[in-house]
Amino acid sequence: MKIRNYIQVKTVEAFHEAAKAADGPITILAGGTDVLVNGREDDVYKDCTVIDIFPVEALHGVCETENMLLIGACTTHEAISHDPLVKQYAPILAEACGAVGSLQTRNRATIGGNLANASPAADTMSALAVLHAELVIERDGEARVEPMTAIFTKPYKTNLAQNDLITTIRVPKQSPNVRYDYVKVGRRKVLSISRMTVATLLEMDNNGVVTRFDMTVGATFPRPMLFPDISAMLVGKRPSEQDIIGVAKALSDKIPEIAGIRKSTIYKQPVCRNISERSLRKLFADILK
Amino acid sequence: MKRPSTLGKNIERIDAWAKAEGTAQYGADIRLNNMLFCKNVYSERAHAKLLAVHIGEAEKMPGVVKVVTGKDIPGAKMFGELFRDQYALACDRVRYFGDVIAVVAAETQEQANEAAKRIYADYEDLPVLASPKMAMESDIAINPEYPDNICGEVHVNKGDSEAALKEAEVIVKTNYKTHFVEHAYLEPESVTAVPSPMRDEVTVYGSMQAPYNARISIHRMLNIPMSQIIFKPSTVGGSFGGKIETAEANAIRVSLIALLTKRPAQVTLTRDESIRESYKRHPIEFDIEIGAKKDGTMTALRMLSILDAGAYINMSPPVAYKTAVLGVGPYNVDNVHSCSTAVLTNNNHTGSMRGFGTPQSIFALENTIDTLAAKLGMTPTEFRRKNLLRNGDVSPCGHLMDFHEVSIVEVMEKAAEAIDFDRKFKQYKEENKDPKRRVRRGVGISTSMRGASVGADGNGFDVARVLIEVMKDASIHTNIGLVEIGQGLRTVQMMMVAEGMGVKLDRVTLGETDTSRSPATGACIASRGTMLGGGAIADACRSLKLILNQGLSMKYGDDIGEVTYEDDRVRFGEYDLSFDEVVDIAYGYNLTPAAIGTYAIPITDWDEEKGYGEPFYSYTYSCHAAEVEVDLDTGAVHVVKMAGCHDPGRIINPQFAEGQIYGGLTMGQGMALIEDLGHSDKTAAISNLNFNNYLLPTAMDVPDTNEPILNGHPDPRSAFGGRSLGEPATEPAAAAIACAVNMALGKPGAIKELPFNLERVMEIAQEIDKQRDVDAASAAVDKA
Ligand SMILES: Cc1cc2nc3c(=O)[nH]c(=O)nc-3n(C[C@H](O)[C@H](O)[C@H](O)COP(=O)(O)OP(=O)(O)OC[C@H]3O[C@@H](n4cnc5c(N)ncnc54)[C@H](O)[C@@H]3O)c2cc1C
Repeated sequence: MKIRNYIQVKTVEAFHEAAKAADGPITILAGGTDVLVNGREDDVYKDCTVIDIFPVEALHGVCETENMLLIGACTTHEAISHDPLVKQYAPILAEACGAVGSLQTRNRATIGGNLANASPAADTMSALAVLHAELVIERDGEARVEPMTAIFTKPYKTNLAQNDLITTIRVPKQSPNVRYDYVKVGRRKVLSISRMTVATLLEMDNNGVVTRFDMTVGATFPRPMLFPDISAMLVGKRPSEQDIIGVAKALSDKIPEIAGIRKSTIYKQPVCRNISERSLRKLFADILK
Repeated sequence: MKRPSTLGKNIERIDAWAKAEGTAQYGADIRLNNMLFCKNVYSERAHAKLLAVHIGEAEKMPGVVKVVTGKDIPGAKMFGELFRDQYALACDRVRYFGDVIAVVAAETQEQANEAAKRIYADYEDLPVLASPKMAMESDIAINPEYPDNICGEVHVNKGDSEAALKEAEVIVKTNYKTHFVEHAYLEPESVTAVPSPMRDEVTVYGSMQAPYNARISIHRMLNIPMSQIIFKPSTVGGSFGGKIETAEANAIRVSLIALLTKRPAQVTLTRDESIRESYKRHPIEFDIEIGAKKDGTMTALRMLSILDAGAYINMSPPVAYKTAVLGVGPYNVDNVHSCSTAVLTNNNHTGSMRGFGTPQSIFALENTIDTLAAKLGMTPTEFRRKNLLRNGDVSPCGHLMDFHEVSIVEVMEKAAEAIDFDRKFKQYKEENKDPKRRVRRGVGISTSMRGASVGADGNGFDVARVLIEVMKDASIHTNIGLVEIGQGLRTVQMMMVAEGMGVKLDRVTLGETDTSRSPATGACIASRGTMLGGGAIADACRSLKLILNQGLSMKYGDDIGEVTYEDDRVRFGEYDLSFDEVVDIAYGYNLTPAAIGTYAIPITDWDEEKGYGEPFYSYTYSCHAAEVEVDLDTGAVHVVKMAGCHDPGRIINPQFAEGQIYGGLTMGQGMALIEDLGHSDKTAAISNLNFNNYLLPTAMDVPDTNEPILNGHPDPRSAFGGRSLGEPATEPAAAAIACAVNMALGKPGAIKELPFNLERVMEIAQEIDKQRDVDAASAAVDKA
């Protein structure tokens, strides 16, 4: 892999300095599990100053505020999947992170890298979407907060500037009543790029009436998406078998609508419908009885 | 026969520690003083006239020492073991994307890589024939010697299959299709050539399994005497049949560079290059028809198969031979017609790969058998029990099976029992009727009968040789050119030498494979290493004992009578000597206890014209059974358990044999479910050039419960009783999984094409769902 220059930083401030000092393009290096693969044979990074942020301690680990989990961008998938706070307050994310690659990959690959790489097949995206996660992004020392879904423009493209650093993933803490399901469909059990993920998060009141409902499909659309119309189908209702079938159909109909009819649609549309039904039946098992 | 002393034991592999500790040297580990690093430049066209290759710019790049093209080859331009039709460096034409048009040699790999990017060619495009169908319909010949693009045709005829099909009470007629499969050896090709400072001589190291073939090619193409081409294969990091022609082409290129520059030269392919250049498993299309009586007796079998040979003939005719003669299975059927046709295309050429044309045909045959059984109202095991060959039957090709134990029924029963096939078949069939069940279970079984070694299409050519020398310290030094490719062959060879000499194993030493020390022997292919190597070893041991006996006669008189070598002792008359003493005596009389052993498979009675007779000298019997879960919601197949039972003759080292079976089951699972090169039947390109998208089963995908079962019956036709296992261990696996998935889907024979990935299984699952909806609707109407 050819690069112009390699700089390792230990603090976020040092990153900003290095970014300012660099002339020419910058590539941020976190776990490197995407960057090293991209750079393996081609010369894509040959003019780049590579800034290695993996040693920045402040970017590792999970902490909490009253309502939020704050996940450092360099926290690895393996760390997140076992993190007690994540398991308590956002277990769907622990599952999604645990579904990435293999143990070796998860020990190195970071959540920030997963998002910034912007692959439509990134496994954390659908989970973070239904969690309504936000990103803290710093440029030149200035921080801003954006919804996670807002940074993506098209496959493998974000609207981040090259000196934009994702520092934190902010995840609203979920109450213990929240039910969730995360399904990954891949060609093999590990080391498998998702054909599809389906992430569902919902809450009901004591009467089984849905008070909150988010469901989305990953590895299918050009970027992570949320569907208010799908959410509206169940909110305020005590769902019946018919509702479940309706939601699954509506969600799977989004595939040709948004992604267009492609070769993969023949597979993805019915599979989305099937696993959505399956997820919802599981989540509402007690209500449907 | 006396009780074997060493055979049948789990002797530790002689290379185990070196491999585990990392001291074993693989091709790419080699670093030599002054060595050049090479980079191949590949064709940018699948089919074109090659008008000019421009190397001027590359030659001027830093570090570049030499750039070679086809023009630099001084002798014959083409190589090939059976048919010499393959360029090592393309001259006037390119025939697939893996053709090499130039090689750059530079001081560093990076410099070679940079310079290689500066090489380009002028092409005149020719139509790309990306499938056998296109090639057969086209009037363009890929190789002018084969104007219709057909490069091989083999048939089998027994009885009158046409008439028998007319009379059959139940018939199934269907078709199947298989795909390109990559060997996926862990180690990509790496070859190093070292010139002699004294003469026109080159020593070649690297990852290869057929050094004697390569020696012939270098001799013909680079015009040096065969004795001055020395092959010393490195530790081989996997081959599965794949380290032959591609390794050879690279050996020719680096030898050329080494001789021209007088410097060692090495080429190591990247994974992408390896997948781009190397030959694959043949895609085959089958039309198949089976007839039976109502009582389940199989009466007729017709199998027509068309193999995609790719750009070069390579091993296609012998692969077609095995597809035709072994594809008809281990069944007792009187009327058979099988015809295999190999067709040149502009795809990757196809050649030797574990199974050699049979995993495909077994997939087609066994699924047709299941379809027929279902039609007859029989279970898969019932049908097979009734129709499998037994002692004294005549095989589907006409071979009277009276020379060894025909154990296929027993082998099938053991595999079936290991997964509790009969009970589960019944239970799952019932269970799967529940329309609400979205994850269905299934069991499948498939059988095979594999010819040991090359077979009658190589009648007269199938020979192995060994050189064994008893040293003065009474150690027994063996030099044999059959290469260790990870299967444990070298350890087995030592065990057979110990057995042959009646001595303890630790007397036996084995030289590293070296063509200048071991007499020419065929390649380590065709599951022949144990049987053929064993024959040669037995022959050498016989000669050695005669020499040692001569010493005994000189000392003890001519009338010593019979001498036995057993338990490390030598006994005759009243004498009971140690082996050391006997060796001392021989050396004391200035005898030379060294011998070359030769074994050639006897010529079998095979009538190629008629397609009838004895296609092989002996056979291994195999059965794989699989249990799966199929998710109707996603098309995902989860393999729950596989069992592989084999009768490979005598089991020489049980642990190695089990290792072969574990690996074979896994290889079949990959072929069945996920491995896919992304070949385009329009452009002939393959898109999955690395393991990020050419998916292999991982440790997490392979069931921990897989079970190898050894059911060996020593074969009187093999010197040490052992036949073959390398290929049998994988050949029925993909078929067994397909049968199991079809059973789960309730549609025997439904999967028509490999691999049956998520999409293909989902397609069938959707048909089931549609049918369910139709049934539900009509039930509702009935009710109303
Ligand atoms: C063998 C293998 C298997 C894989 N399997 C999966 C899988 O199953 N599911 C899946 O989703 N992914 C998978 N991946 C992809 C990859 O591991 C993930 O996308 C991972 O999360 C990337 O993180 P990283 O830290 O390694 O990113 P890097 O490679 O370091 O960076 C990726 C991109 O993000 C940018 N970047 C990184 N951190 C930041 C930041 N803090 N701010 C701004 N930009 C940043 C980089 O500049 C680069 O463009 C796999 C990769 C490999 C090699």
